[in-house]
Amino acid sequence: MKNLSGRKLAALVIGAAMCAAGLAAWAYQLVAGMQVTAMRNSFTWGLYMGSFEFFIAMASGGMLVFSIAYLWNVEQLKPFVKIAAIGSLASVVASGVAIFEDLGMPFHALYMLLTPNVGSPLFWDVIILTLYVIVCVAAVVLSLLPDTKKHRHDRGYRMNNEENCRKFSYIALPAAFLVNIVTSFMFATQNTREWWHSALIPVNACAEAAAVGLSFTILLCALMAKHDLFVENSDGIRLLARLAAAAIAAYIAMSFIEIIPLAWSNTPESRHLLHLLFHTYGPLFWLEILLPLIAMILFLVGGGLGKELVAAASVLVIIGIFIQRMMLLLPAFNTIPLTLPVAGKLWTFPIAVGTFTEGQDVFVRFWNYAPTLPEWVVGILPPGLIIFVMAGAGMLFQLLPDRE
Amino acid sequence: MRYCMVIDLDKCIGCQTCAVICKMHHAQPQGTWWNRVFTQGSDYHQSAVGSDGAYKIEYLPVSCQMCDNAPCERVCPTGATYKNEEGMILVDYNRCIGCRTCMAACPYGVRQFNWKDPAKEKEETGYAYGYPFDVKEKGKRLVYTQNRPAGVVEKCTFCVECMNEDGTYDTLPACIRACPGKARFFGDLDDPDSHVSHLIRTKQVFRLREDYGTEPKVYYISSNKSKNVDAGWADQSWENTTPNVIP
Repeated sequence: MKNLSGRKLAALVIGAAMCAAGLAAWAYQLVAGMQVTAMRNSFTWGLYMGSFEFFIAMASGGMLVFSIAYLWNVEQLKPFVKIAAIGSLASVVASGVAIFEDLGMPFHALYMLLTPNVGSPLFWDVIILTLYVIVCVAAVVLSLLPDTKKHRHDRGYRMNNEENCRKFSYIALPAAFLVNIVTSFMFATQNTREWWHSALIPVNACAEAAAVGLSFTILLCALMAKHDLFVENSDGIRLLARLAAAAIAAYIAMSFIEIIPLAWSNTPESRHLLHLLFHTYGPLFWLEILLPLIAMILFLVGGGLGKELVAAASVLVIIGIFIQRMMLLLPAFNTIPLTLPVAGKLWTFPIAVGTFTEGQDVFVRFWNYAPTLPEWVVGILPPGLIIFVMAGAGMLFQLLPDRE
Repeated sequence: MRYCMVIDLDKCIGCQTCAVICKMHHAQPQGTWWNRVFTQGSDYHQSAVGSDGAYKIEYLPVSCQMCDNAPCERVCPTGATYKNEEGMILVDYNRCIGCRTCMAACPYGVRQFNWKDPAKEKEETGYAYGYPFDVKEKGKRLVYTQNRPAGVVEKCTFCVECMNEDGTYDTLPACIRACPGKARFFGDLDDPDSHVSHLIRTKQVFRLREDYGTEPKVYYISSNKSKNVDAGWADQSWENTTPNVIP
């Protein structure tokens, strides 16, 4: 027990240090301007937007586990419901922080409420995110209430609370998918970007969210639960692993379903996009496919998966889907929409980058985006927040059953 | 009333005066260009494109296309980007949150983000320029200021600072006035008797990437004269002597 508490304290300190470093770098970015990032006019979203998308996907996991446990009455998942719910809450708050990091003028954010443009997908994304935070808070409260001093030994209250959790799952389950669908509309509705303009993007976002969300929750359980509790409830973990594997299979299938018609069309635009995908960003593309694929195999054939193995597989999914979220941006921004056929070839109209650096072109057709050091440091704030919240919650509340 | 611009590509000599005057007039920071002119099909400006002795040079100036169905306006979460009564797409710098969704949505690459504070940059370089007064549309929305804040998006405004309160122009937009080839025309698209309406009706015009459904209000007169609908139109004396007027 002491050992576990020591780990929690270490995690709390690491999380706090990441938050402090991230906040300091963010303050620096606000003072110096977003020139400190590697983003420019032709490549307007980078690490922060990728993180925002990623943490939203990750936030689905807890609500999925919560819903599965109560709607299908999976007893062996119920010990992990508190961890799952807090994991979701921490992730959705992290996604909110990530999107704020991306704003050039965060102090104007109140105008989203004062003068909203209700036709904007981003406005609806803010609404659904806010509602999802409320859903996550409610799930956390519902899962923690039976442990309060007042109700701990009240069997009737516990049964009533379980029924409330079951009813609440009818909200939590669709909310977990809806938050990803609405967020993906920010991309899917943009008809000027061929890489994004697809009805499959919201569907694939759900598969990716289930894959990474469930993997994240499995990882949290593996890290926070003692070995005997993990083994005792291995059927529940195995169910989550199989569901994650199914979601990974759907994600990989949909990734190629997107690409095949693109290759079939064989237009100059599609050839350019495929060149970016398989050559310029080829290693990243294969990593986003292969890492989850390996994890899927481990989840499926692992049988009595060991704690370490299941944690390693979850990490592979998390890395793979993070790369996928970045790959949503990399080919898209390097396919400049203002292309015109000139003398039988496709000609791209250059874009002014927005800053001046001696010896560098001001007008570009390709931007080799790689996050700068300040950008990486700002970027560790959201994951730092998740680590801090999980460790803090682990110290404040009894997140696992009594024998722990 | 809907203001539009017509650019005659036969008359454009690719001198980039329009881009430079726009940059100076609107105090654009380093690396920011509301208006760009490039040689179509070429990686280098002013270099010919073609093969087997059939070379040609055609220029293409591109600034905000002031789309009627503007994707930038539709995606803006705060309504900072909006269309005014004259059909111009403007940005209210006091409302812009710098999310850059409009930049991702715009197919023309004309939206520019202030990656650093322009005022500080000018202090550093010791170089002051630009129309000096703030412009608030209808007394409320800050659509022009000499030093836009860091972290907001800016772009061509059809020189909104030149527009009178009643929506008329006494002084034409800077690019129109500065163009040495008199290739640019500005006026009301809704007025069938306006010069621009006449040009659009009678010349071979096109708009950029209409397939995106943006319905731009910048029209280009094709550089291939043989395609002109009315070949005699270009010879009419009034067009060559008093261009750019708003009827």
